[in-house]
Amino acid sequence: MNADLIQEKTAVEGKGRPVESNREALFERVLTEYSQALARLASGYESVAHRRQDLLQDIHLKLWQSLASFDGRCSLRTWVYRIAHNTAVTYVTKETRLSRRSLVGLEELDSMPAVADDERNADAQRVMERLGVLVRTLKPIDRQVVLLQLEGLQPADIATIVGISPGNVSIKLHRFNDLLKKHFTIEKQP
Amino acid sequence: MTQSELIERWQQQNFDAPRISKEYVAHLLKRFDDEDKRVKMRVLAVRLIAVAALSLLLFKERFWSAASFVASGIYIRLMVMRAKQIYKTPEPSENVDALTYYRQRLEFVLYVRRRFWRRVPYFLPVFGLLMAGFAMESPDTFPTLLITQASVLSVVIVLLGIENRHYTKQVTREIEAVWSLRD
Repeated sequence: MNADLIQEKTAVEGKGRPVESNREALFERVLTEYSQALARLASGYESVAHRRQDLLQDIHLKLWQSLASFDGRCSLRTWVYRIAHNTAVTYVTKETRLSRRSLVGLEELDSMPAVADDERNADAQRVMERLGVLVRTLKPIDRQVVLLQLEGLQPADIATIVGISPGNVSIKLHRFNDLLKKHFTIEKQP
Repeated sequence: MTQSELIERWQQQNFDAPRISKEYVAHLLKRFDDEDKRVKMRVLAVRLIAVAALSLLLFKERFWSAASFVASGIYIRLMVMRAKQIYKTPEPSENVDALTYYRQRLEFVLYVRRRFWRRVPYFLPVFGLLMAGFAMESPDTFPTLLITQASVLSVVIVLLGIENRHYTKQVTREIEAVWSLRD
């Protein structure tokens, strides 16, 4: 059992739900440790700043409500990402239906032509914008896998959060890495 | 740029930090609960006034048509309220992985769509009310009007049914595809 999980288990009273002070402590921890990660996650679902803030607020409300039943059976990180992504999926499904915009899977994006060299070598700001656009065209499950990888999570952790098999995570990550090579200048790791 | 540098840059992005605290969240939840009831009552009142005003505009000096129009409006509103209570959107469950959650959402869409035909009879009283209003106002032209309206309505229902069937198939395929990722 990892240290993170042990720490959370001690924060929960017995087998039951956390007492109110623990819920507050957990929420404070979420705010301290995951604020920026949640903001980046929201950016993967919404590009317009004020709507992104609304989505973030919604995520935080859901987190506050859900932490009342946090029982420490998974790590706080897994819990936070699950609630955040589930809230964002609700949002993106509604938005997609309203705008009649269709989302694509990684395999469909793979068939898109590569971008020009000057685009591939654009400055950091432009690269992040393009990466954001690429992420926001993906279907919910693919998007979650990609966003979690960008947050630096390992494939096994991604599989736990998303609920797909580790093998499928690897396939999706492989496709995503190919996409990155196609759309951005990616050198081989030394 | 290497892939790890790209990931690093992603993580270094500086977004506006959300100005949220636990006190703010508690305040928002309380405000939403209180406001929700007030807003619902206000919306209901506005809609009733709108239906009444529209009926007066459409059917000047035609009492029965106006009355049937208002009654239909109230009936539809009650049906919508009832449907909303039955079909509650699933909330993000505690500790449910994304795939399960996504499947739940798709199944909910499917459930609502599959009940399409069951909802159709509920709208027959609306048609009946409107027709009764017209029959009271102009009994001579009523048979022609009834046949025309019934034909148009039948075509609309058949088209909606076809669209519904197509969409249901599409969602079923998506559920199967999504769930296959589990293995």
